[in-house]
Amino acid sequence: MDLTDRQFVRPTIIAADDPSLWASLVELWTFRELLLTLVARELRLRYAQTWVGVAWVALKPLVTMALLWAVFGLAADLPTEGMPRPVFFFSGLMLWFFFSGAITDGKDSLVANADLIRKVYFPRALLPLAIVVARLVDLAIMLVFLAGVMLMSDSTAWPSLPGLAVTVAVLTALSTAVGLLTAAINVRYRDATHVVPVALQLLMFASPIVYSSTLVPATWAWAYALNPLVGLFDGFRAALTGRALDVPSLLLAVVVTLTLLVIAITVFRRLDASFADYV
Amino acid sequence: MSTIILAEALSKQFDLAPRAAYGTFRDQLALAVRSPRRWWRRSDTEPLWALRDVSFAIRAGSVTGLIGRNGAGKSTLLKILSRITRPTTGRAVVHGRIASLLEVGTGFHPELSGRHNVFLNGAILGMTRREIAANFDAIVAFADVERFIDTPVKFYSTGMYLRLAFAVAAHLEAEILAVDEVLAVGDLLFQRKCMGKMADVARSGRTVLLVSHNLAAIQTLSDDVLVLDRGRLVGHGPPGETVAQFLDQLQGREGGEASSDLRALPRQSRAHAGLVEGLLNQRPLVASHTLVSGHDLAFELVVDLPEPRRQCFVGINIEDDFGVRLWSLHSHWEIPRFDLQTGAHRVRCRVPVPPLVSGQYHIGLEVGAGTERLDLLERVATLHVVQTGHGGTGETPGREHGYILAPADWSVVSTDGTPVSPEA
Repeated sequence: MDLTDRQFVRPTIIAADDPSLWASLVELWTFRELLLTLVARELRLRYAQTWVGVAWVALKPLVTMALLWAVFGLAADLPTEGMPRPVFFFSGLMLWFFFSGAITDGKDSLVANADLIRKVYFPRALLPLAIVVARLVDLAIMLVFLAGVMLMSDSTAWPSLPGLAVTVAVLTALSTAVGLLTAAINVRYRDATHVVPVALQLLMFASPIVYSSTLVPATWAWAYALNPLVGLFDGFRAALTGRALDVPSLLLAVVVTLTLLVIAITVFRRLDASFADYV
Repeated sequence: MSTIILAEALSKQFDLAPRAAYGTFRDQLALAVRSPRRWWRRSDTEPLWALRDVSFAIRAGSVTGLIGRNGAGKSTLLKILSRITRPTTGRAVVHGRIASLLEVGTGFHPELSGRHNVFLNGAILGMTRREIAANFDAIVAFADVERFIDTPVKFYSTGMYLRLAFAVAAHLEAEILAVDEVLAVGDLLFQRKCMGKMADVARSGRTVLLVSHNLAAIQTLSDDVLVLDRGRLVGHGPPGETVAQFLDQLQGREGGEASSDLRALPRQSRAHAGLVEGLLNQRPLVASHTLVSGHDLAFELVVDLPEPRRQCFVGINIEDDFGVRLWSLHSHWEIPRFDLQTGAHRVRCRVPVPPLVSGQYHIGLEVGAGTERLDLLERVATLHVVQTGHGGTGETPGREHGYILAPADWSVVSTDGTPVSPEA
């Protein structure tokens, strides 16, 4: 065995204190192969046994969209920011399913792998991270379907790819932050697993998914914009139709996301030491 | 040789009831409302030191056995060294990668095929994809599951599952291998394979940390033995004497809490009716005794009947946890029945114990006269039988092979008289 090949040539110091943030990040990088393996497991388990396979990913927003179409779409003339109705709905639902899916699975990622945590060492953050990456793969599949929906509904405007990339990147960071936070808290307080879905339900109605944020009264707009999903969903849709991004609301989303990320990383690192004792 | 693991005053504290109480938001909230001060302090649970000031050094390339009773801190120590949990105080320096085999099959997923599980499990245990791919055929061959490698492991038999799991772990290329009770896995043939693999690992220059209740395996495989007792390191040295010292400690501890008085013990039918006092191997009988398989049992009983009886006998029996009687000793099978007057009589019995398979057994006593049973004490003492090697191979069969290890004399020669060399 070639010892120089290894990440552990330097002695490992085992002590009570938390390793530095930098050391943790370096370690995450050395474990990147395990991350990919965990992502592969996630995807394989989810899709291997259903014959619908990959199409299943897009089926959920498509069915939901059809439902909404049936209930609201025909009667109401809700504003859709100048987008074709299906494009408006599908894009909102797609982002929401990515975000809520990452949180729903992410919060359980540590508890569900208690067996691993109690018996093997690896950076625990890999488990919630693997969920986010797996959901990103889903999102990529849904993007292909979105392109199809756009073609079918004669969407004429050309999307701004940098705009899409930025909003998806921030949304991913936000999902990661909330995933890390809820996963860590769930280890200590097991009823978090029941609180999160309720919170998600509320958040869904507080986000411009099936309605446009232009419907929100101006007096409440500032409070509404504190929800980072508002700036991100609006931004994504603007980028989708090549409109200019609303920079202030996007910046606000970035600030909220970064704040959550710092909180999440701090809490996760704080609880990391005792996961194996509690999980 | 160089030191590969250095532990300095490692301690680990657990809160005794962190999980049961206040493990939910709801409980936290309730506590905060009911008694804000306690909620704030949060230190009302009694701490338990699972490990206390444990220091030692392990040489590179050695096999170190870790022994101790249940709850002595063996697994906690392994978990700290393999970084699964952090120490409360103290530190350790480890030169190299530790592959922990706290239990085989970690991370196996029933829905995935054997092939996918090998890669998943390997990655979790710290192997790179390249290493797993390079070892894949060897792993599958070792586990003997070639035909089923693309079948989901939920269709595997328990034996196949365990074999595959151990095979992955055994092919880890870590500098240090931490093994906990893995030797108990599988059938005899596979156990032998595991022992062989373990010896290979040790010979290949890797360091092994071995936790086992199987003292024979510890004695055969280790170069060095650590003894833990209630979180503290109480012994460290060469296997022979350290294991012996550990056995002595077990006996000593048990002797202290024991009693030789049989009068107050619960009887099935009536109050005390004859058996007054008992000693086993000169220790109070009412206790748990540790016995090395193949050694003698010496009973010394005091019988005092409330009235004179004729044609008396004394019986001793041994049964397992499930009440299966292994054997009985009745005095009248060996010596004539005797007449007893009132007053104390001492009855002695020495018996070489048939070499029993390791495990827990129970001793019962009775006194009878003619066909009448005068006194009966069931499960008056517990016997922990420990094997320290049967025949010298270090292999110790489990209960599934029966209770008795008959010391047999085997030989294998070719029919033309040339000796057969030992297995490679």
